This record gives sequence, C-alpha cells and structure tokens, in this order.
Amino acid sequence: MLLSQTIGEFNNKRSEILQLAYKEGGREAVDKVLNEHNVLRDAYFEIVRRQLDRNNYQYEQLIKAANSETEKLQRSVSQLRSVGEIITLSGVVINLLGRILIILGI
Amino acid sequence: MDLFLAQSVFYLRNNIYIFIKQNRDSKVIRFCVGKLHSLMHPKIDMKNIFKLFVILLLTSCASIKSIELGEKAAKAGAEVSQKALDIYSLLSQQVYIDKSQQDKVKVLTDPNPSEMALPDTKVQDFSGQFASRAEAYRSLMNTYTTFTLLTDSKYGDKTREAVISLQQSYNSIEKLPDLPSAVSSKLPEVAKMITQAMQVKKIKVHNEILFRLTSLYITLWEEDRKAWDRYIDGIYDHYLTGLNSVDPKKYNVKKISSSSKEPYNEDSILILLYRLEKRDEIVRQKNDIKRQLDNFGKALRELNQIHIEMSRSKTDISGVINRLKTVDQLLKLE
Repeated sequence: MLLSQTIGEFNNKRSEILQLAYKEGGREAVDKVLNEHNVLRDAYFEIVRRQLDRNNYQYEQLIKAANSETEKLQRSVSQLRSVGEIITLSGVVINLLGRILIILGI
Repeated sequence: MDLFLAQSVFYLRNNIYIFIKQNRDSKVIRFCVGKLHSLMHPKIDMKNIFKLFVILLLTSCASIKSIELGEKAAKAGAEVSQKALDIYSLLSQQVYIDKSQQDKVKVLTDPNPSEMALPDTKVQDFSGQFASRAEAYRSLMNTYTTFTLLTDSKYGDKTREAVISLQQSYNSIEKLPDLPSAVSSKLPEVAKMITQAMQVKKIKVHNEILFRLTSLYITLWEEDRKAWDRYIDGIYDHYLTGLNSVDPKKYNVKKISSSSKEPYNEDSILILLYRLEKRDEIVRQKNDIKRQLDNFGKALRELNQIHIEMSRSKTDISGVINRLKTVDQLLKLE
C-alpha cells in the first residue's frame, strides 16, 4: 500500500523533516508539515473505513437472517412446550370430567 | 408391523400392545396399537421383549446425548458471540490509544516543544462500522439464547410428569376402570421418549440452519479481517516508526541506566537497547490483538463445524466434543 509506505517513510525521518521545516519556515512550516501528515493518516484510515463499509449492507442482511432464525427457534420451543401443556390440559379436563360425574351422581 | 421391526413393545390389556419403531436419530417412525396375534410374529417371548427394551434404552440414551450436545453447542455459540462483542470493544478502544500515541509522538519529535501548543490529534471515527457489526453479533447472541431454550433437557421430564398427572386424573375417576399397571408404569417413559425424539429432530434441523448462518458470519469476518489488520497496523506501525525517529539527544541516559538491567556503560548502546525494548513492546501489543482476532476466527469456524456435524443423521459425538473443547480453549486464550 503506497500510502502506508509514504507515512512510514515520513515517520522514519520525522524528527529530521520537522527540524528542517522549523529552520526554514518556523512554527508555521512545522504545522503545515504536520497537517500534511494528518491528511495522509486520515486518508489511510478512510480507505480502511471504506473497505469495511463495503460489507456493511451484508451485515444488515446477517442481522435479518439471525433474527429470522431466532423466530424459527422460538416457534420450535413453543411446539415442544405445547406437548407438555396439551397433556397437562388433558389431565385438567379429565379431572373436571370426574367432578361432573360425581356431581351428577352417574 | 412385524415384531422384529418394532423396537419397543408395551402391553396394554386384553392381549393389546403398543408398538414403537424409531430410526437412528431417535425419531419415532412407526407407532401403532393392536392385538398381538394379528399384528406380530407369533413367537414373542420375554427374551425378545428384553432385547427390545435394551434397544429402547440405547436409543433413549442417544437422544439424551444429542440434547446434551445441543445444549453445549448453544452455550459455545453464545460464548463465541460474546467474544465477538469483546473483540469489537477492544478494536474500538484502539482509536483512543492511537490518539494518545500520536499526541506523544508529536511532543517527542517537535523541533521546539517549549513553544508548541498542546497536541490534540483527531480521533479516527469508526463508530458506524463497529455499530453494524456489534448489532449482528448481538442478534447471533439472541439466536443462541433461544437455541439454549430448545436444548433444555427438561422437556422430556416435563412430558413424563404431565403423563403421570394425567394418569392420576384418569385413575381418580371411580366410574372408569384403572389403567393396567403395565401401562401406568411404561406410558410416562414412552411419552418422554417421544418428546425427546421430537426435540432431537428439531435440534438437528436448527443445527443445519445455524451452520448456514455461521457460514455467513465467517465469510464476512474473513472479508473484514484484512481491513482490521490494516487498521491495527496503521495504529501501531505509525506509532512505532514515529517513536523511532525521536532524536537520541532527548533521552535521559541516567534514567534509562537506572531502570535497565543491561551491563553496558556506553550511552548510545543504552539508548538503542531502550529503543529496541520499546519497539518489541509495541510489536507485542500489535501481535496480541491480531492473535485475539485469529483465535476468534478459529473459534467461529469450529462452531460452524459443530453445527454441520450435529445436523448429520449420524453425528460423530466424539468429534463434536473435541471441537467444543477447542472452542473453549480458543476463547480462553488472551
């Protein structure tokens, strides 16, 4: 990556470059050089950000896929729970039937 | 149904039996109730019934094992999701470390620090990139939390308890004849077994979906990985090279000498050794972060393989156990 190389080369001679800038143009020249360096670094990280952004829409799809599977899992859990609930309910119905038989004296 | 096809036989009453056949996944594939002489081979003896009960017990054990493994896979999935969130938190902190390091380099490399203003390097903003990724892994975490509910080993026991309660209700009605003791004793277990078989089937189906889902997560993680490497390199390499260019005259050799264990007198050697130490420290920090990313990627791939293995009709149980151990070890590594 050319940008990375340029930043690296600047950094390797950073003190010398800034010293030279200071001698030639004082604080203003130093600030200008540092500003250029900041621009280079911003560009470097902007490229990284854009690489990540390329996948951003896929993450949205991933979130939808994960949420859809969670819903399917919830349905499966409900089905399993309902097995026990139906049997329990049957027991309640039979209990009720027994009480009715007792009340009616059949 | 032929007796030798049936794996479980239960006596009801008046020569009436319940026949159950399961496949290898403990799924009940045939179930019928009928009279012995019209449905079965005439030679039924206690030896055959005993064999059938042994088969029933073994298939029931396989169901329990599948449910247990499912529970462990769900736990591993939740832990991997949490690790992803930790990784993104670690990565997001790096921008503040970068700011602090760049500020320090600015002070150390300034030609005349006495007149410089306090440096204030811009913090690189990656919040949008982290937000979408963290959200994706929070969704995955929710999926595994729900998967944990599906792999709860108590469903079979709850069905068994419900059937016992149902039988008690039935038997308590005086006008109705009590269920035969053979039925009363076996029916709850059969009901439990059927529920477990249903549960195992659902766990397998969801493992297949989770395999596909985690495959997508792996693809995106691997695509992102190159960018994360550049991000980390940018932060640590820019600091390292900037620090290397600090003028040797700015070092206080006495301080270096007092904290150094190296047996050298020459100032330039002490300064160079100090620089080497600092360089190695920065490289170590960078590599530690990259190693954490590597280990997370490996854990995610192992989890993915656990799901595909568990979705198969014939699961390699020892293989799944080994992969679960690997996930656990990878997540514990710093």
